[in-house]
Amino acid sequence: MENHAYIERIHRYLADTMDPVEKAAFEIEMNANEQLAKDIKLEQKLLLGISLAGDEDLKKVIADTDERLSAQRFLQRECHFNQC
Amino acid sequence: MQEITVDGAYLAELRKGSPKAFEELYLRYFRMVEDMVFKFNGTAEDARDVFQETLFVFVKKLREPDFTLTSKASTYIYAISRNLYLKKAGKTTVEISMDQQQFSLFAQSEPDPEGLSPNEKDSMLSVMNDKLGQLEADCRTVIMYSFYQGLSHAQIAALTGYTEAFVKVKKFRCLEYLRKLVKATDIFKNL
Repeated sequence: MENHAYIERIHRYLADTMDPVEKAAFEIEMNANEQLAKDIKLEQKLLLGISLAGDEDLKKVIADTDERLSAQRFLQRECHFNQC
Repeated sequence: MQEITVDGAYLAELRKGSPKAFEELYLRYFRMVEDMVFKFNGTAEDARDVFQETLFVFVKKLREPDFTLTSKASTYIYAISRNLYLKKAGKTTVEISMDQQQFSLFAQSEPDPEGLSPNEKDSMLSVMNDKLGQLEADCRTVIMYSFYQGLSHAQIAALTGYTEAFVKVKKFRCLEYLRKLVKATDIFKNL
């Protein structure tokens, strides 16, 4: 799976950005080509994994911000904009 | 309350995960959400939890390449947090005080991973964190900008200082490397 155009095509299919004609042709090809079907499954799982990791990163940035501001007592009710 | 200016520079900081950009959201909007939670008899802990969940939904949507805020950030944040809190508190009536169409966009922003049990999700996350951690930092950055945040080559080039042509080559090279790493793991082998 080194070919960029091949991968891009799979990604466009997974993102549902193909026009109906291209999508129909791609699905016929997918049903006839076992390797393509396998590669689609792999890309789907890979992109899902990236998405899960990205969500986790974002949650961590937010949680770290919460912890940092909590340590600075910003989140305590009596401390607003550093006025305690 | 002074509203945040969601311009290109601020969005760039959010996309990079800049601590300052996230602190700004806390400094400007946390108290508003906390007041709302207290109004519904919630606790300070509830307020912190709801605000974190709200920022996750808000920032994820805001970072999408084609998304444009059509109201003040406070309007979105208040509506998202109120809905999240009322849902969490088991209230049956959820009021949406923002444009319905815009809110439905936010509501869709955290889909359940297709067909994955919580255990499978944890396993996959563990594999991905391990394998992404084996990439060079710039590779990981380009992958996340491209395949998580959905940014164009031009947007990634602007954030990283690379040329667009280099971004295109790099993103596929890095993805290819990541693919090789994950293919060797049990969770990806059984396809």
